[in-house]
Amino acid sequence: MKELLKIEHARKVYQSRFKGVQVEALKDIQLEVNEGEYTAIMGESGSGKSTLLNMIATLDKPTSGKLYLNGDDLTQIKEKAAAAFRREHLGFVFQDFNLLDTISVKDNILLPLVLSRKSIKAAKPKLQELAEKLEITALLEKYPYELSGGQKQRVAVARAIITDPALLLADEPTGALDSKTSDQLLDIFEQLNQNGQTILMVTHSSLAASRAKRVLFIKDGIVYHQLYRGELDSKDFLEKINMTMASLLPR
Amino acid sequence: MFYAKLAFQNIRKNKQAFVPFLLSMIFLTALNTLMLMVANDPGLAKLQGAGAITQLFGFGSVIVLIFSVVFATYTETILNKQRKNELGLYNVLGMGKRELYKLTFFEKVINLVTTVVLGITSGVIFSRLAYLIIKKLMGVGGEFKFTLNPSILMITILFIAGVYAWLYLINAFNIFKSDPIELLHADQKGEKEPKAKWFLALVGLVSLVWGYWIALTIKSPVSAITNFFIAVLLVIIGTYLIFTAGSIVVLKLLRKNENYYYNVKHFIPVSGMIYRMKQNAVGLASICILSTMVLVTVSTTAGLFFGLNDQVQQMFPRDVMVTSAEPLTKLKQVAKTYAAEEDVKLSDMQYSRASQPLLVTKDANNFKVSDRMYYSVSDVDKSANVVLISLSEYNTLTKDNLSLNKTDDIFMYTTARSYPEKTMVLNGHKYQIKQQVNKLKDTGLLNVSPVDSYIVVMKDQQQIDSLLKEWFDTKKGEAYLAPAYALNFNIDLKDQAKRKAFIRGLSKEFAKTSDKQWYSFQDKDSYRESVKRFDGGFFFLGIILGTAFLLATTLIIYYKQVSEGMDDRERFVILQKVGMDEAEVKRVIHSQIMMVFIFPLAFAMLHVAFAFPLIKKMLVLFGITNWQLFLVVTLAVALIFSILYYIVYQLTARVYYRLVER
Repeated sequence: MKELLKIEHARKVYQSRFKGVQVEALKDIQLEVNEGEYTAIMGESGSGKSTLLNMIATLDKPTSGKLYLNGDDLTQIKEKAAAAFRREHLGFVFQDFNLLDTISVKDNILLPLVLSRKSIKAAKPKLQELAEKLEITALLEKYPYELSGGQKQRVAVARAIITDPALLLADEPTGALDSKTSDQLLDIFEQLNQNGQTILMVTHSSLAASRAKRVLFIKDGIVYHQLYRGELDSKDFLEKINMTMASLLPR
Repeated sequence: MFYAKLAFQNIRKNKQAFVPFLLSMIFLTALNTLMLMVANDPGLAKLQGAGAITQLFGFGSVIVLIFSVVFATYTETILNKQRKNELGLYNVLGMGKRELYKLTFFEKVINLVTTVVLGITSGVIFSRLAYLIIKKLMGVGGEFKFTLNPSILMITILFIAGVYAWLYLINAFNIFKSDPIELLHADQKGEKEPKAKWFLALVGLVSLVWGYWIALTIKSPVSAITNFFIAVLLVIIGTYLIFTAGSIVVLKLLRKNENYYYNVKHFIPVSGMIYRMKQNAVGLASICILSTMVLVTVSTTAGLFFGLNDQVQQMFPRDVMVTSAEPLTKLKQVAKTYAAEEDVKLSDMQYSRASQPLLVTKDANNFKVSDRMYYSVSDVDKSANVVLISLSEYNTLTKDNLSLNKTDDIFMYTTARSYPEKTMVLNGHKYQIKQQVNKLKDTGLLNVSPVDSYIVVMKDQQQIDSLLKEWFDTKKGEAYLAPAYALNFNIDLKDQAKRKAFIRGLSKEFAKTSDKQWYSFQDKDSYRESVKRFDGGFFFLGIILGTAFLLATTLIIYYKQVSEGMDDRERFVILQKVGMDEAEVKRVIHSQIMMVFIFPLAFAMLHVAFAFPLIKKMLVLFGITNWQLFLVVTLAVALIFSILYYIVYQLTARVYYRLVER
């Protein structure tokens, strides 16, 4: 399998506003993601997982260490190129959906293509296909504020993958959903992964993580444990995850 | 005391909401102080021709008072909107409505005290400055002295307190009808996309075009005044509808065009503007109307003021003008002797006899003497003045040497733009126009008149007399039979005081010798003085109202930027996450700001351009026919306004950038 994402000794230090006080969000992160993998990163709030995701998303840069995506060094990328890079290679699904209320569902999904200056004619069949797959065809002409949380998140997924990104980044995608719609979303992720989509998901829900193929545990700025699902079904995998978490609880 | 303390803290912590509110209230107080002080100045009442000026300033101060109430109400509603969350929070935390009434009451009292102290102080300071300006503009002397009138200050304070009471009522009503949950989540409601209102957009377009059409096609200045208000009303309605409904129709059409819409250059601006127009169309339309008002008020009054010399020259081709129904030979002699005694030269002397100006209705070449008794404004477009003068009088008056062979031949001069006909039919008598002559232009035979004038030169005086007898055979018309004698001359004196003394002496001499003869004596100098007072006062009022409207414009722009900045912040964060780079975000923000900046200004300029012919015609009523001068004044005012507008926009745009780019 080809290596898609590689993180070497990433460290991130935030300088607090008062001089001298430094907060180390990431200590030393070592991580590889292969093409076609479905990886979940788990950790409590404050563990540094959001910082990690922001760095992969090129929204932030490490203080030291290297990040490679598809062999490109993300730490060397300029802001303008980073935006283009995000558009071309990454897809995002956020906890709070981040849909624009001012444009229709259809336009929300087409937004990344418009930003990449892609022709609208070529995008239309793709939009139809995705909408059918995600069961949002009937919603295309509606506006985000008219949708339920689950529907919104499916629209966000459509927006994330319409550009065929190398890596789909999901930041607590089930955080704002109830259990039923969470399940539906995770089914979609699983399906996407089966079709070859590489997914990196940050979550603190063990239920969501149990649907991934691999789970990384992150605490105090380092990856301190990882679990592979292997042949386990998601229920057993969930048990293992929960046990791991329990064993690592501060005593 | 707890509430007073809390209220004080609230104001301090909500600077962003309270500072603009307080600033505008202070400004309104200062403006009212200034206006009331000027309007009720004891020196003003002593001025020559004070009646018109006190009336003018009284009228101005009433407008400022009304404007203050309207504008204070606007700022209060904005303030209430901004503070809904905060009051909702207090409510949730256990403050009942009764306590909220108390709290906001103390807030209002603190605001009132601040407003009164700062407003009255700055008002008094500005008044001193205003007095200097008035003195300069109106050319008045020491009788117009700045004095602090405590009763005026009391009236201003009472008025401002009244306004605050009214604002408190609005505030209390808002609290009364609200419920806490709604207060807390006031700004989180999903916004519906506005519907395209084709019908309203069409109505807006029609009323705008109609208003423009009225402005362009007005013929006479008298009907200009009556039609002016209709045109203004139509344009205001048109502007509001086009900004609210028309803009959305156009944007939605743009959105339907996929090749245009799905382009990174248009996608964000068009979709953003649809929402922006829904929230801010009324604000933008108000900015446009207010800007137009500033431009029209200031350029009209400035046009009057700078056209002063024109106006005086039109009315007074000579320094002294005497008219009478009887020959003025005796007075002519008196003038000459008196001048010789005083060692002053009289020049450009004219002495003429003509008919009185006859009011006629005109249709192509057909002139009919009309009855003044049954005259109405609607006839004004067809009206004209006709003056008859004999050839010999004409030749002596203009030192020309023309001749007429037949009694059916005439010479003619007209103030109308053109008279293409070869003949003139006066109450059925047909005359051949031998030539149109131009030498009668500055002879004082014509009063400045809202309608076109025609001077007809006829072969001899008997012919004129018999015509007049034929036309005015009733008792009512008898007055027209009398001839109009005019004696006009210039005084070759430069020094103002000497001129004044000479004119006073001359009029006394005239009064001594005239016995029972009726005559009218007018001099250019006192006319200029009174006109300057009037025009200067008008210009001053224009500046004051212009400043008031400009303030309103500024504040609306400011509030608009703040509310838009808060809304757009979220949108741009999302766009950046989805892959829009910073430079592009900045470019989009900038282009949106520019669009919203230029749109109302461009519309206001368009309004002024169409209003120009109309105002030009109204100024003719005041004797200002030099429209090139008025054009220059208007362009200058427009330029200055654009610069001020740009500065205001730049300053407030910073607030927007700060909010968006945080």
